Order: sequence, then structure tokens, then C-alpha cells
Amino acid sequence: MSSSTELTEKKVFLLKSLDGVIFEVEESVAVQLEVIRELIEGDCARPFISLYNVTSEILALVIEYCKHHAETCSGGTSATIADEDLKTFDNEFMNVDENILLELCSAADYLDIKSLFELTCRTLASLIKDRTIIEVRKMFNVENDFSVVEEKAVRKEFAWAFK
Amino acid sequence: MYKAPETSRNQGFPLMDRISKLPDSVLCHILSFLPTKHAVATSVLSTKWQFLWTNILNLDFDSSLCFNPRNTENSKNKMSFPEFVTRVLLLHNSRCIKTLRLKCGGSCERRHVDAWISTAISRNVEVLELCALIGVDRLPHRFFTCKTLVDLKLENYVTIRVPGNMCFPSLKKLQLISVSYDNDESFTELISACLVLHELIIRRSEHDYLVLCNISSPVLKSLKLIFGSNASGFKPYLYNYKLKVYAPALEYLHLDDKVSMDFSIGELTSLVEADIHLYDNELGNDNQYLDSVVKFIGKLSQVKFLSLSINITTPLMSATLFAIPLFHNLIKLNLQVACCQWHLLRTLFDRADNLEVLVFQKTTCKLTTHQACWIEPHQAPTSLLSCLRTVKFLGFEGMRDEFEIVRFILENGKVLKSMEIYGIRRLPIQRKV
Repeated sequence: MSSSTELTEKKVFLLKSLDGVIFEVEESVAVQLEVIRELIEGDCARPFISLYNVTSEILALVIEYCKHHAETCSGGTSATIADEDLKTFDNEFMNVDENILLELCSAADYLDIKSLFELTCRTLASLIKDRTIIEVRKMFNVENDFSVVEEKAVRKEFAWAFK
Repeated sequence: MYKAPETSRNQGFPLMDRISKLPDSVLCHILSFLPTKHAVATSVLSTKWQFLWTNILNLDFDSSLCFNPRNTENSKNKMSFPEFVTRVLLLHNSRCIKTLRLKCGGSCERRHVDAWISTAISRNVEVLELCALIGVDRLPHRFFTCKTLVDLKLENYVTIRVPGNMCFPSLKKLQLISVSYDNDESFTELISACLVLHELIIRRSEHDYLVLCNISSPVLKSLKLIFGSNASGFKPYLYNYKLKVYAPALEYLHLDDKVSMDFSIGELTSLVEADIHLYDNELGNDNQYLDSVVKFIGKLSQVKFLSLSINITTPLMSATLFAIPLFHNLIKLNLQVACCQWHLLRTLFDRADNLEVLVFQKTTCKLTTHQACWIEPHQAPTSLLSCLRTVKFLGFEGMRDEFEIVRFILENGKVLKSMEIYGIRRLPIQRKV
């Protein structure tokens, strides 16, 4: 996948996505995936690590995210500048449609990448917050399986929530 | 290098409910970021969502939140904010509440607030934010011995009336925003009861009944004090407001103080960064006051980064300032000076012998007649000759003093890499050395 691999002494790992695409990542990226940290530390990560729940499309995005975070944190810049830089990157990174966002959230949960999980959950929350119930249903294709009477009862029970 | 494929909306994703497929723990985590009003509202999305919110760990109640302001008078919708909060807490399923944020106006009575806080404490609350509790003149007794509390913010209208056996054994961060206290001792005891406090933020309001602000904490690392952003209500000439700090482990200090007349600051040997703003006040000519200011600045001598504005424009100030010690560690100095305070720059130049970055900002002068106050040192300071790399001058007005200073720095700055000068109209005039 990675065509411009240079011969460096850095340790690299191979990650295989659900659809069989193999990604080469450096150690600084791989260790951010808590789910495989033990494999890496126990030197059991050969020849490659299979990630059964993540498609290549989403894995590519996850790697892009981890790579940027690893580079920024080791860049030698001051903490405040690094923070600013990560914030800008995160904002742009979250500028994807809601389906990708859900996949990313699910992947971050499965791969156990805490910062990405928090970021996607926060972003999904803001999508819900700015919309009415009907709009949220439409955006995520949530099917309303309440009967009219049931929905009315739920709304009445917490009337203040709908004020 | 791998490039992510372009993804267009819904490409490869047939219309299906993907969000409800996420594990409940993930959905609850998403709901935890919402104000509780919004989280509870998701209960009508579908039957799957009906009780999801009951497992969220963060509760955030704000009585002013309203989806549709025109609806509030709707007679069909009679549930009040206190009823809502009580009902949510009653149905809340989780054994712990990590965060409780409570912002309520006049509709809440003390008995409500007492019950809510007590519920949160019995469920091991870690983060508690209480804001604008109008009519609540004291907090429940068990609040003052909460073992699990890590982060506490009190804001507006809360009066601290402390019991004798108060103790917060886990509290790391405390914010007191416009809180009033029964008396000076209440405040002192409150701070001392936080055994492992790392970060303290205090913003004083004029009706807080505090004369001596005594902060004593052997483990405190970060302290931010904003005293009198609106100074009108304070009466410094009536009360001799005093600030006393004993915090030997402090690494960061921010003080913006229009109120205190007397500073008594203990040793600050671990201090790395300080951000100090002091202002002209009625005692600007008082020797004792200036003495305590200079002594205070002397305590900052360990810092690496210093931001300083002392808007005390009396000639006495310049005379007393010569007593400040060396600032060996200082690398970056951000100085705000009024136009007749160039002596401050000269003094600090002299004392900070390892300075690498200097930013100074000239603020407008209150004096009607401009006094030339830049006196060129006989010998260029060490820092200027060997370390100073970057200088930024903001608020340049083209006065003779200012040209003299720029010339002096350019002539003597042996390792100077860049000097930027910005005029008062923010037009940059840039000269590279």
C-alpha cells in the first residue's frame, strides 16, 4: 500500500483490514491502537495483525489520524502550539458525513483509541444537539417504532425535556 | 503514500439505521456529551432509545435551556425544571454520577438543591458544578465532607458557610467564581480543607465579604486569581484588602488584581510561569504598598516565562523597583508599559541576564505631559549582548524615547535575529536584522 517506504530503522507493523488491504504503519502509530498494544509489546505482531471489524476505507482514515497525532506530539514544538495544531486538525478531520463518522466512532471503540473515540462521540453529540427529534431520525435513518399513543406518553413523562 | 479515497454522501452505505447499531455503552457515551435535557429528549427517537439516557454518567441541567421560547407559556406543558431534575435523578439507573452540572434560576429552592447534591454525593460524584443558585444560602452538610469529589466549580450567588469538620480528600481542581463567604476564616478553611489541591481559580466579586484572601496550600501547582475585573464595587480605601499566598509548590501563577492593597507572598521556588497584572489605585503613592509590590515581584525571580503589566505610574515606583533581584531563568518576557515606564524595561533588561525573547507593549499614557524616561544604560546588558534573539514592539507611536530604545537594541543586540515593530494602528513595520 505504502509506495514510498524508505529504508529506515524505525519499526513497522502491518495491519490487515476486514476487506484484506494491508497497511504499513510505524510503531508510533500502531501503539495508539490499544487493542493491539499487547501484541506489539509481546512481539506477536508478525506477519500482520488482522483487524476484522474495520474496512480499508475507515482504517486509512484512522491511520491518518494517528499519524498526525504522533507527529505533532513528537514534533518538539511547545505544548500550546501542538494543542492548537491538533485542534485544527481534529476539526477538519471531523468534517465528514455522518455515516463515515459513525464508522469512525465504531472503529475507535473497537481499536480502543481513546482520543479518537472521545472526538467522534463529541461530534456525534453536537449533530444531535443542533437538531429536532424528527431531524435526528431522518439523519441517522432511525425508524420510529412507537405508536402515536406511546410516543405521546413518553413525551408527557418528561415534558420539560421537550419545552 | 496512501491517500484516503474520496467519499461522497451515502456512497456504499444503503439507507439503514447505523447509529442504533452502535453498542449501548457507546450511545450512552455520546449522550453524556449532551445537556441532559437533550439526552432525555432522545428517548422518543425509538423504543431502543427510550431508556438509554438512564445510564449516562454526566448530568448537565440548565434551567435556561429552551428549544422553543414561545412554548414556555404553553399550559399543556406544566412540568417545571425542579420536577424534571428530580424525576431524572429518580430514574437514573447508573450507580455512579461522574459529573453533575447544575445551573438554575429562581425556580429552585434550597430543599431541591440539597436533595440533588446529596443524591450526586451518594452516587460518588467526581465533578460538580453549581451555578447561579439564587436563594440558596448554604450547601448541604454532607457536601463538605465529600470523599469522591475531584473537580468543583461554584459560581454566582453561592454563599460558603463552612462547618467545622470540612474535608475534601480527593479534590484536585477548585473554581470559585463570584462566590461570597461568611467571613475570612471560612475562605481560609475551605482552601485548607482541600488536601491534594492542584489547581485553584478564583474570580472575586465585590460582595464576597472577603478582606484577607489567605491561600495556603503546600501542594498547589496552578493558581489563577482575578480580583475585580469590574473594580467599581470594591472599596479599597475602606477595607485594606490583603492577599496572602503560601504555595511553595506553585508552578503557574496568574494574578489580575485591582483590589489588593497589600501582598504577602511566600517563597515560590518551583515557579515556571507567571502572568501578573497590577493597576493604579488609591494607594499608588503609598510607600508600604509599593514595597509589597516590589517584594512580590522579587518572589517571581525563578520564572522562565513572565508576563508583566504594572500600571503604577508614579516616580516612586521606579525608585523602588531597583530592589528586584536577578531573574536568571527568565527566557521570555512579555512586558506592558505605560509611556513613562521605560525604566521598568531597563531594570528588567538588567536583571534578566538570559533573556531570549522580549515582547513589549506600550499602552496609552494617562499623564498629559509626556516625560522622557528612557535613560540609556552606560553598559549594554548581558542578555542583549549574548542571548536576546527576538524582540517585538507593540504600540509604537514614533516618540523620541521609542526611537532611542529601538536604536539601542539594534545597535547592541549581537545575536538578535528579528525585531518586529507594530504601530498603534496595527500596521506592521518590519525590519529584519
